[in-house]
Amino acid sequence: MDVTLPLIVLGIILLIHLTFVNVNIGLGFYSVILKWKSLSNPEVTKPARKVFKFLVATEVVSGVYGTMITVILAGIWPTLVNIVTIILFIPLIVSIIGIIIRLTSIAAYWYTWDKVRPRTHLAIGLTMALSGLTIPAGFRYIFAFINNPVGLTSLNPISGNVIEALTNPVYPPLLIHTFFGALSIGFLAASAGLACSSKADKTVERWSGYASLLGGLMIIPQGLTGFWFWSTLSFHSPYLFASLNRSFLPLQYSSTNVSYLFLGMVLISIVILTFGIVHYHKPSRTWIAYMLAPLSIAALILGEMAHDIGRLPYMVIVGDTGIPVETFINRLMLIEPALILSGLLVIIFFTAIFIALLYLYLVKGIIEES
Amino acid sequence: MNLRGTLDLSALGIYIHSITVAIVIGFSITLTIIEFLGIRKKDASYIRLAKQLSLVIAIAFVFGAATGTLVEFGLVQVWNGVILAIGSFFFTPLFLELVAFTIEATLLVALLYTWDKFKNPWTHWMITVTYTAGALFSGLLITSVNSWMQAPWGTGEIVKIIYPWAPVYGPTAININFLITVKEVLVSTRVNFAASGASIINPTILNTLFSSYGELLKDPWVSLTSPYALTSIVHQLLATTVVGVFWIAGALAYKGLRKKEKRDYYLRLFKTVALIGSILLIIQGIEGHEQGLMIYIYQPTKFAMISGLEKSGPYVPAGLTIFGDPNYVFKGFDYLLQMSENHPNPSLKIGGVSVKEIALADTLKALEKLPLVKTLYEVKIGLAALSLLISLIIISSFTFKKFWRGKERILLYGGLIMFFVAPAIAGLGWAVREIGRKPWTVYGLLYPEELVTPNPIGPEVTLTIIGGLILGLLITFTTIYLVLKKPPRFLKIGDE
Repeated sequence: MDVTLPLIVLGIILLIHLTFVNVNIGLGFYSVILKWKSLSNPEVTKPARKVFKFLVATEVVSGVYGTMITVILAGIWPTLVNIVTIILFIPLIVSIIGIIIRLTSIAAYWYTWDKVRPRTHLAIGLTMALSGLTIPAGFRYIFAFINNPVGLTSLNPISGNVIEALTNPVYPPLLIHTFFGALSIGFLAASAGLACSSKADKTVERWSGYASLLGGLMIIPQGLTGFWFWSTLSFHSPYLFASLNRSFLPLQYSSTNVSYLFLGMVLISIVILTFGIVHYHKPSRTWIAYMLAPLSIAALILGEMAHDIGRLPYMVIVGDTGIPVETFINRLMLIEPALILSGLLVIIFFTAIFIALLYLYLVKGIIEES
Repeated sequence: MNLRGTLDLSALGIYIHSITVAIVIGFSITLTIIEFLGIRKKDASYIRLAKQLSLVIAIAFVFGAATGTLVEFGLVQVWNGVILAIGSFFFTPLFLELVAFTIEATLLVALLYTWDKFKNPWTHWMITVTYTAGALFSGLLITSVNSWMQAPWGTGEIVKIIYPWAPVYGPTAININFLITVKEVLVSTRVNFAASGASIINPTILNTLFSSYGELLKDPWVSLTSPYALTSIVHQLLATTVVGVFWIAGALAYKGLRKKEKRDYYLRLFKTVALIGSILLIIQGIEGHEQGLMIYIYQPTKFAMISGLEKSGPYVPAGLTIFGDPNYVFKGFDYLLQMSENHPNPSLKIGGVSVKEIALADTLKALEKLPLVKTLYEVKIGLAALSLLISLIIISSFTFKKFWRGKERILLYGGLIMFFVAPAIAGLGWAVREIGRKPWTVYGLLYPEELVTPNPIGPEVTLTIIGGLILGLLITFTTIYLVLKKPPRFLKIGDE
């Protein structure tokens, strides 16, 4: 079976999901930072609230797409999902619990606004922000696992050590790199949103610049942990490492070359760092904020594409080789391309309308109303 | 946690999720009708109620999506073996469900934020109608997935090969050798290694089977063509709608009883909504016959459980409605056991166990559930009779207006009773549906122990999930209460 279409479907859904999830996590932290600032400066309450409402809008989209990924993965790559759910049982349970805490704490943060003492509300907000990290804390194990399948001892029958799976050396740098990336993207999304609001209310302009600064500065720890991740791959996932560096280093054993995607991500990150600082000093230049948010998403997309395409033609990397994508494709039925393509087109079309409506009525309407 | 506990946890998750499903589907139908009446009669009170309903739907939708994700995760994470079905029979309905879900989410935002935005109010109503269609389509697809587990349509005579009392489940849309081999490995793994069969759903086995026999499923649409599924879709969607409608009616009745000065206002709305619920409930009662017929044809053990037929004999309600003969003798468990005993292929073995042994053991396991299922069913029927009576009283208030003048409180109390009775009937019905298909998860084909994760589930995980679900439910209700008390200004809901 040709795996191109299933890979494209998975890729598109995954990229949309990851974009919104990252924006969402970062917005949670920025809302809490602004809430904390508002304890000494009441003027900051307004932007804190606006940022939180952005968060709620993106939570809905990321949730919808999270559901889609589960169905797409289980439907098109059933055996891979079965392996992952058995070996990574504990991390996935962490993510499920994280989802519960995240949703309940978002609701709690919303309804306790101005109803409890500010410091108590801040504590609820911190719980909400931190709970956003627990979801990728579980799911990032899947990416670490397919880079380096620690814990898997047998494919037939599927067996392994669920505790040993937790010790995957690829996981810590990947996770921390993800955290800083999410903060950067979310802060820059907040910056763009506040820059938009600043047309009507100049007081939020400063906090747009502040978000750009934080979002830009996050590139530094993200770069450092990225280097850590990159060097870890050289030991534990050499095929992927070779794919990422094929044009720059004398590495031969990868048939895939994603080094320019990787380089593109690095260069965009440098631009983000530079312009983040510039916007902080010149917050009235809203075009910088409008530019930074899509740039950060472009960096995310390039990074994820390099990470995921770099594994091809394998789905799971084992040293300098791997288990091919075809091994895991659904063999239980012939999946009709027409069904997949037409379904995907409808999903993308309605998602675009969904996002536009959320922007028009939730962000523009309600935020301006509040 | 043992298998029993895992089943109970899954049931809890599904029940909590179903609360939001009842709100989303039942409220959407009511919203469509109430908005229609509001526009047609130019009645502000109907439009106000419609706006309130749209708000509640939005909140329930968000929580429903969250619990739906948990239920879905639970399915894949705890019942890994179900992946076998997700990759085959469930794929088309679940993929279409993603499309329906996206349309539903988009149109819900559209209908919520376009109130009073169009010059022609019918434009908004069209959004409401399309949204409701999306919600129903979503429910239809998920019901078809559950229905396949009740009657595995497209597997032809496979179940009959093991259980001689079983019917033929439609055309043979599967590769028989592929499925029999999977079943062989599952039984062998369970019997010989006392392990979960989930671990054999791996690339080595499935790719080998594919090389030998080709794909398992030949027709990806087959699960949507099952007569059992089509009947269940109507039955389940009607049941869900009735619950949602009577929750609205019950809430209006409560307000009418509490606020004497506004009683006329609430009574009028209550009567309209309760009439919708009553009509649907009567249709549900008539349709229930079709569902019963499907159980009679496709789930012989469940039919014997429901009718309490440990031994073959008459079952008056079914005898009358199916054959017009109250003395018609239905086949009970004695007959099913007898057929298993006289198995036509006693030498046939699956995973080293003879099919005769399997058929006898499983039929006896099903028999163990008879007292529980029969009791649940009878309580359900009793409550259904009570609700039918209340529904007739509500309908009579439209035809015998003079008689009911001054006695409206009785109607409102009837609405309050239905607030609790309607979900109780649906909940009991679902319990009968799910317990009645035991000892199988996929009727006649797969057991829970073949599908469950090989990993243990600790009490900390169980308690966190239960706590999270309950907390989530409380937050949803609190949110609904607060939002109805102080609705967003942009909706311009207005006063009572």
